[in-house]
This record gives sequence, C-alpha cells and structure tokens, in this order.
Amino acid sequence: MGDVILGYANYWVSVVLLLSGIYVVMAYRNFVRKLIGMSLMQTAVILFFISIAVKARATVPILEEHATLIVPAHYDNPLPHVLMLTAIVVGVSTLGVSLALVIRIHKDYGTLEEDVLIRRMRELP
Amino acid sequence: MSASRILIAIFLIPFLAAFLCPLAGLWRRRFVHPITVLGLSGSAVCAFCGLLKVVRTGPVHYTFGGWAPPLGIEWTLDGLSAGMAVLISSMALIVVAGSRVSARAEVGESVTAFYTSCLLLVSGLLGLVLSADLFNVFVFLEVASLSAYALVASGGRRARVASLRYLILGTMGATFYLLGVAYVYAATGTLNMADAAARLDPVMRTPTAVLGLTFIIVGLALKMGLFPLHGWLPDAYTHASDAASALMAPIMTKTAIYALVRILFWVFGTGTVTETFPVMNMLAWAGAIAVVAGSVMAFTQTDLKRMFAYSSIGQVGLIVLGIGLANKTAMAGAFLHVLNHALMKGCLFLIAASAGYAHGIRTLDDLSLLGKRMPWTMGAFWVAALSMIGVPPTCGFFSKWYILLGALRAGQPFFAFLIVASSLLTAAYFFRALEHTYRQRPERRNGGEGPVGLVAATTGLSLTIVSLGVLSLHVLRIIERAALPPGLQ
Amino acid sequence: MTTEIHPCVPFLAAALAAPLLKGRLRQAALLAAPCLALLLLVRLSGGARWTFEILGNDLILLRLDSLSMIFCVIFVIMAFLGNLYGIEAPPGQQAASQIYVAGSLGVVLAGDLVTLFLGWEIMAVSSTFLIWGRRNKKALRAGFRYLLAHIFGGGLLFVGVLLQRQAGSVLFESITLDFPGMLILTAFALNAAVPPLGAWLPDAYPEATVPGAVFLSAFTTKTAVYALARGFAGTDVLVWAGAAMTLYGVVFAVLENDIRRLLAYHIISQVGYMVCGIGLGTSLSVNGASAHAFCHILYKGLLFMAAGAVIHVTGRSKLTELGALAPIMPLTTIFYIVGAFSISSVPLFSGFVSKAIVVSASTLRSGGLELVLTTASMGTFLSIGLKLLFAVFFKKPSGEAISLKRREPPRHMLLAMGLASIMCVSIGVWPAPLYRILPYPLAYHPYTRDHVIGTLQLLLWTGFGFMVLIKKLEGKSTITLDTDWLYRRGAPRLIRGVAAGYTAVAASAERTLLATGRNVSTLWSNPLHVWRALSIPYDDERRFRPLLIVHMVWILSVFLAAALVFWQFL
Repeated sequence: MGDVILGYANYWVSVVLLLSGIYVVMAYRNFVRKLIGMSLMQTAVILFFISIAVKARATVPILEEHATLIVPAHYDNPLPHVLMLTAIVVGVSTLGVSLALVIRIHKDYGTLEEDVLIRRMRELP
Repeated sequence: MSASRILIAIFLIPFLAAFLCPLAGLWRRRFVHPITVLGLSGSAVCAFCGLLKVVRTGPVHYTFGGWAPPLGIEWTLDGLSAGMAVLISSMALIVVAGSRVSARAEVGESVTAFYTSCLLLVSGLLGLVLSADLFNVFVFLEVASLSAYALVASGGRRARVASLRYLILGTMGATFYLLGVAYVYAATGTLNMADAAARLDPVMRTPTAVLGLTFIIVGLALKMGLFPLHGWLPDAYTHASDAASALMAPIMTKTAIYALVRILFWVFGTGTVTETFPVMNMLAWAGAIAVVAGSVMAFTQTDLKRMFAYSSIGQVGLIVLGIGLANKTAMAGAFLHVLNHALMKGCLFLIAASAGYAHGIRTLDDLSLLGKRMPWTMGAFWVAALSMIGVPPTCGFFSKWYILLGALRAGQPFFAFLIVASSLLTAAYFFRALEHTYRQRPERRNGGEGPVGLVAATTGLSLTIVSLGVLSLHVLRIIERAALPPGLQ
Repeated sequence: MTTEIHPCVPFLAAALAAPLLKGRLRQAALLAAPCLALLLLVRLSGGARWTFEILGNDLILLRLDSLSMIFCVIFVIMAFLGNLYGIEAPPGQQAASQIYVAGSLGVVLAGDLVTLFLGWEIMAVSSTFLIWGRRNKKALRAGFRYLLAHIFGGGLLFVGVLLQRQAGSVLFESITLDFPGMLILTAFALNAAVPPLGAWLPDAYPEATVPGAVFLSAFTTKTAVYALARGFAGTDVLVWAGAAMTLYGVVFAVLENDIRRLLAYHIISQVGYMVCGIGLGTSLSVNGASAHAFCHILYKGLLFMAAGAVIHVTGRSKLTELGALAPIMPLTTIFYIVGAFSISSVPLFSGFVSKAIVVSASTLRSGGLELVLTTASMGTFLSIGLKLLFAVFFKKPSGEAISLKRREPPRHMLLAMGLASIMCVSIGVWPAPLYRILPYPLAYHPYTRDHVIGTLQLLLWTGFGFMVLIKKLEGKSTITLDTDWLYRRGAPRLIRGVAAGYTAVAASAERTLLATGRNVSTLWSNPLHVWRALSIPYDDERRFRPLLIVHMVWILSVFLAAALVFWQFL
C-alpha cells in the first residue's frame, strides 16, 4: 500500500493538484478564484510532465563547459523541461489575458461573482 | 520556390504581418487593414501552390533548425493539411477583406489590436494544421485560442463575460490535451507524430496509452464544440463582434476536428481506433446526438447569430458522425462537409454582419426588414440556407449525401435516418427565418444594401457554394485520392 | 449533341431575365421562352437520350419518348398561358414560376432517378415563392407548411433513390415495389396529392398569388402523375387510391366556401382519374390518364385564371360574399363556363373526349369502378358547373354589396383565358391531334351515339337535382368561420376532416419541436436538478446562462464515461 503511494508520489501530487484546480473552478463564485484554480490545473500538468523526465541517480540536464564524456543516463531528460518552459509561457499569457478581461468586466458590471454577474448581464444590454 | 519554403511561407507571411500590424498601427491606422489583407492573401496563394504541389507529387516536409526528426520539430504538408491550409487562409481572407466597414464600426479605436488578433488567430491555426509534432500542435492551438479569446471580447460588455467563460473552458480543454500528450510521451518517448505512431503499436493496450487517448479526445472535443461540451460556443459566437464571429465560426472548430482526425488516425492508427478500442463508435454516437440536439436547440432561438451558433453545433456533430462511421465514403463526405460548412457558415455570419450593420437586424423578427431592402444579401441567404438544408445543386447536398451513403455502407440505417431527420429540422428553422423575410413591414428605416465589401463577399461565397456543388465530384475524387487516412475500408 | 439545348434552358434564361429586364423587354422574354422551348422539343422529337457521367453513375438528363413528349408539350403550352396571364406580376414571382416550369420539364425529361430528384427539389422550393408572394400571414404560414410537406416528400424520395442505387441502377423505368420502391411511390403520391398525403394542396393553393395559383394548379400534380405513369403503371393499389381520390375531392369540395379551395379539391378529384388510369395499366387507360392530364391542365388553368380574375377584380374569394358578377364581367363568365363545361365532360368540350377514355378503360376492370368514377363526375358538374357558376356569377349577393375597382380584368388575363378556352373547345370538337401525340396508339371514338346521349342524360339529371337542392348547397359562411376559429386555436380535432387535421399536425409538430428544444437546453444546463428545472415555466428564470460548474460537470462526466469504456478493452 505504502509502495503504491510512495512509489508513485509524483503522480499523486499531480492528481491532487489537478483535482483541486478543477474543484476550485467549480466551487468558487468569484472569477479571480476560478482563475487561480485554472492556474492550479496547468501547474499540475506541468509537474506531471517534469516528473516523468526524472531518471534514477541523474542530475539536472545542464551541460557544463568542461564536460568531455556525456553519458545520457546521468542527466535527466531535458525535453520535457523545455516543453514545460513553453507551457509555462502559455499559462502566463492566458493568465494575463484573463486578468485583463477580469479588470474590464469589473469596470463594466461592478462585480466578479458569477451568479450576480449573470443576473446583471440579463438586465443590462 | 522550393516546396518546403512554400510550406513555411504559408505560416510565416501572416505571422510576420501580425508583428508588422502594431507597428504600422502606431504610424498610420489606415495601413492596418491593407497589411492584414496582404498577409492573408500571401498565405492563401502559398497554400494553393502547396495544395497543387502536394496533389501532384506527394507530401512535403520541413524540419526546423536542420534537426532531423524525430529529434527535431517537423512540419508536413500532405493532402489533408494542404486542404485545411487553403480553407483557413482563403476564408480568413474573404472575411477580413469583406468586413472592413462593419469591423471598423464595431471595434472603433482598437482596429490595430483587432487585426493583429485576426492575423495571430490565422497564423496559429495554420501552424496547427501544418505541424507534425504533438506538442507543437498544443502551442499553436493555444496561440489561436488566445487570439480567439481576444477577438470574442471585441463585441461589447456581454462579449467580455462570454470571452472569460470561453477562456476558462478552452484552457481546460487545452490542459486536457496537454495531459494526453504527456501520457503519449510517457508511453513512447517521442513527440513526432510519425515516430509516435510506430512506437505506440506495441504499447497501445496499456493504461498510459489509453489515458492519453482519452484525454486528447476530450480536450479536442471541447475545442470543437461537440455536444455536450459545446457550452462556450453559443455565447462566444453570439456576443462577439460580427466580423469576429464571421472569422472564427468557419475555421476554429474545423481546425480542432482536423487535429482530432490527424491524431486519431495518423498517430494512434486506424486499426487502434476502429478495432481495438470503440473510439469510432463513440464518436459516431456522440455526433448523432449532437446533430439532433444542435438542430433542435437552434429551432428555439430568436437571435439570428445564436441560431447560427447552435446550427454550427449540429453541423460539427454531423461531421463527427461522418468521421465516426469510419469508411472511405463517410470520411470523404465528412471532409467535404468541413469545407462546405466553412463556406456556408462564413456566408451566413457575413450576412448577419451585413444586416446588422445596415439595419440593426439582430433577431429573427427583425428579418422582415431584410427582404425588400437588401436583395443581394437575401439571395445569398437563400443559397446558404438551401445549402445548409441540403438541396441540390448546392454543395451541402453532396456532402450530406456522401455521409448518408457511408452510413448505409456501414450498415447503420439508423444514422442515415437521423441525418435525414436533422435535415428536416434544419429546413424547419431556416424556413422559419426565411418566412420572416417575407413579412411586410411599414417603412420605418431607410438605407439599402449593406456595405460593398460584405455584399461582394456574401455573393462570392454563395456563388462558390453553388459552383462547388456542381464540382463536388471532382473535389471528392481529390479527397479520396489524397486526403483520407491510411488503412480505411 | 453540342448544338442541342435542353428545353429547360429557355425558362432558366427567362428566370434570369425577369428581374433584370424591364417593361416590354421582360414581357417579350417571358412569352418567347415557352415558344423557344416548344421549338426545341419539336427538334428533339422522335426520341432522344442524353447521358452524362458523374461519380461513376450515368445520369440521363434527357429522355424523350411518347410518354414524356405529351407532358412536355402541355407544360410548355401552359407555361405560355401562365406567363401571359401573369405578365404584370412582380419580377420575383415571374422568375420563381419560370424556375418552377424548368424544374417540371427537368423531371419529365429525366431518364434516371437522380436527375428526377434534382428537378423535384427545384420545383418544391421555387413553387413556395408563388405562395409566399401574397405576403399576408395566412399565406406565409401556408407556404411554410407546403414547403415542409414537400421537403418531407423529397426526403422520402431521396432515401428511396439512395437505397435503389445501393441495390442496383437508378434508371427511371418501371420500379418494383420493394422497400425503396415503396418510398419512391409514397413520394410520388405525396406530390400527386393522394389523400391523406395530399393535405397540403387544399391548404396552400387558395393562399397563393393570383397568377401563382395558375402555375401551381398545373405543374406539381401532373409531374407526379407522369412519374407514377412512368414508374408504377399497373400497380393495383393506385386503382383504388385513384377511385377514392375522385370521391374524396368531390365530397370535401361540396362544403367549401372559398372559390380556389373548392377548385383545389377538384384537382384532387380529377387527378384521381389519372391515378386510377395509371393503376389499371392497360395502354388504353394510360392513354386516358395522359389525355386527361393534357386537358385537365388546360381547363383547370382556365378555371383558376377565371377565379383569379374574380379575386383580382373584387378582392374577395368567399362564395357567400360574391354573386351577380355575370353582367359586370361577361367575358370572364363565358370563359369560366367553357372551363366548367370542360371539367364536367359536356360534349364538344375537352373533358368529354379525355375523361371518357379512363372511364371506358375502367369498365373492363369492374363495374363498381366505373360507377365510382361516374358518380364523381356528377359531383364535379354539380360543384363547378352548377354551384360555383351560380354562386359567383349569377346569384344575388348576400351580405355587403361588391365595390368594384374595375370591370373586366386586364386585357392580358382575358387574352390568356380566351386562348385557353379556344384550346378547350377545339380539342373537344376535333380530338384527333391530341390522340396522335398520346403515348400508345389509340382507337377510340368519343362521339358515339351511346356516349353522347349517356353523358347528356347524366348532366341533365344532375342539373335537375341542383335546381331542387339549390338552397341546401349554398356555401355556409358559418362553417368557414368555425374552421378559422379552430385553426386559430390550433385544436387538433378532426371536424373538417383531413384539412383541419393537417394544419393541426403541422402546428403541433412545431410546438413539440420548440418544447423539445427548450427541454434539451434546460436539461443540459441543469443536469442535477432536472425535476425542478423542468417544472419552472419557460421564462427568463429557466433560460439562465448555466454556471461554469455545469460545463465542468459535463466535461468530467464525458471524460469518465470515455475512460471507463476504453478501460474495458485493455
């Protein structure tokens, strides 16, 4: 039992984070909190990706200048790290766009609670 | 110009134009629209050349930075992606060129931002279509989606709320897709589509690969607006500015469908999705439900653009049904319907833009203003409506016919019946709209036809609808020869 | 073959020309098109067959033999008369009617089912405009129902053709009655207005525009008659369906108060003769059906022209509001009488020489059949020859006096009616040219002593009966009011039979669709509170925009469902 939890610890972290993110998006009415939940979801995926890049007894995939012999087994897989840099950028841009929208919505409707917002949307054109 | 240069030009021209736009906008705002049109036309021309080359000589490849695949990122132009590239760039060109006047009226001061977003949207979709690398697809999917969120927000107060909801749901879809790619990477160790296809075969029956498949399907299903994951679509298309919805409606969902087809058939393999796992069955049923639900919900709408949005949901269902039937006939019909629906929906949304700009027509009741004052637009509306219903010789008839033939060939007469029923439903809500145009109204407003650009665009599209219908056989032959997934019956 | 042109083409050209040309040019184009088409037909006569290869199938765009020739000839003639009658109509209407004619010609000349389907759909869509052209609320709704009924028929035809193509060929010859054949038969029967599929006809035709109704009366039903003759000649069920139709039309017409609805029911009755003749399947009976179609187009067109003239001049169409028009519009009265006598098979008029062929073919089958057809004939004379004639032109009007805009209808209408009358009389007096273009050689002599005396006897007795019952047969305005009231409330109770039931069915279908759509939206938005959500009346409260949680729930459930399904196949 402990084997299942500890052996796959990284996956459990991702799962918990993903589900928390989804829960936050569903449960809270305030849009900023929903955005936080959205970010949590993205973080979960990023951690998942990186965790599958890990090798036993390997180090960070940064090449030193004086390195002569490169044994791939000594370095973590660099590809997912690179991919996740891109994914983080995507996440940040999404967050930026969403925050801009949030500011504008607050200016238009005066609220960020979803149910209040929908009611006000119906009343105002 | 060598073939691979043409390939990269398809993407690069609008992408560079997207960077040029804000600079030009700072200098003189008048130049923004011409730069956009030039960028899109360059892309369209290259896409056409690419399509001709591919149809004659076969697929073209381009590798980035000289790194050979599977280590490097590879872009491929084959029959299917060339067709999609042509579709995306041409439709975008027609819409942007035609809707200049109405876009300026709706967007006002932020023309620069609007057209930059348009160019980024189109570049993102083109990059997605050309890419042969799983993660690259995610990147461009997000580029396009972010631009789409911005474009949807261009329509006023309600549009911004619609955009925020679209953003949250769309990001969730993209996150699911990324998670699916992660699982596939974990199972195969590669992101290149061709390489992953080779390596997935032995490991397909493991939980990893299956979860990858599931996450990718759900993620892309949300992006394409497949019922019941369509919730973002009606609000987004209704409240966005008319020019923006006309741009997004024909191409965004179709690109997501392309991505799904590409990954299911070329990465996971035809055998896997047809025999090993009942993916095609599920897609066929999902499509069938979506077709009926979309048409039924469209019938209840009073707002014109909202009706078109639900109609799109139904048509996406029809395309997915065609794909799910998984034989050559139905697949060719589905691909043809992708092309046809882009033309028809683009025409319809441009008509809505024209009517909205000229007479403030938003709801079905308002349509009675349309008939006598906008004859050209009315004509285009009739052609597009008849094509959506499936009356020969418009193009919509042929694609539906082929999907029907495919359903019968697969031994599924129930799906055939559903397709005919959905055509009847489509007839019902379109003729309700057309009936409104025949009502007599006291002359209250003045003004005549819409702006020249929109009238030209809608007329051109309706002529294309009819001529494409007549030429359907040739197009189907090209599709069957060059664009179908390998290994289909 | 490159110099040969399909007879549709002049009409398509006229359809394009009508909105673009003005005044005399437009009139010239509309009148020239049928003449050109007739010339093309004459050039092609003697059998022609044009094949065209598409998608691995052979499409036969033109197949001209004696059966299609006679229908083409009368369609072209009727197109000329209709164009003349409607020469002052709005260009949109004229364009629609030309496309309609082109579609009918396409169907009649089609050699394979796919081409037929193409023409069928074109006819359905273009003819709807002739109804919508009236632009009042009743016409819009009636046109909508008409279009839906025809699209439904088109759908049946489509599936039938598709299945037929799966099974073998799509050549338009005699079709066997397997499942696809039955679908195709049903589609043909719908267009031929076989009850109960034909409810659209008396519902829509009275609401059409004045010139539009003239076209409608001729083309849709006769195209269907041709299609039945080509594909299902000798099918037994058609014999009894046709006989039933003849009586059905007459019986329902008796209670009618609107001129054109009465005439519309009589279309069903006369088409019954044609359907019956096709069902009998002998060369005599098919000849009879074709001859009857030829004459019927002419005299029904004439009757609709006259009725349309009355509506055009007085603005009214109800029998209870009309009367004593003979002194005001004498020419129209005379033309109407010609048409009425033709439909009633009075000797020396066209109906006499055509209907009789079918009736005599029916005697060879059974005496009962002949009795039915003859009874219907009496009823026709009663309704159109006597009751309508009297009520519209001769009786003293009850209710308000008629205020007139003008006296006789415009000259072009009179000219068209006159030409049609001349044709009716000349066919009646000298039927040989008609008999020559019939599909099979005919050795039939209508003017035998027995036949003439027998017909005159029937007519005289019917006339006598009319005199006696004259009070009872006046159109009751109360019935019409009742029907309107019911129709407005949408109550689907069958008091007026199929007519009210049909509009009720269409209305309830529409309501069901709306309710289903709203329920689907509500259910999707509230997957967890279904009961509560469905019980709230449909207003803003129920139409609220679903919260994001709902979307997320759907996403998660779809994912779980998919994952569970796929897990089984590991």
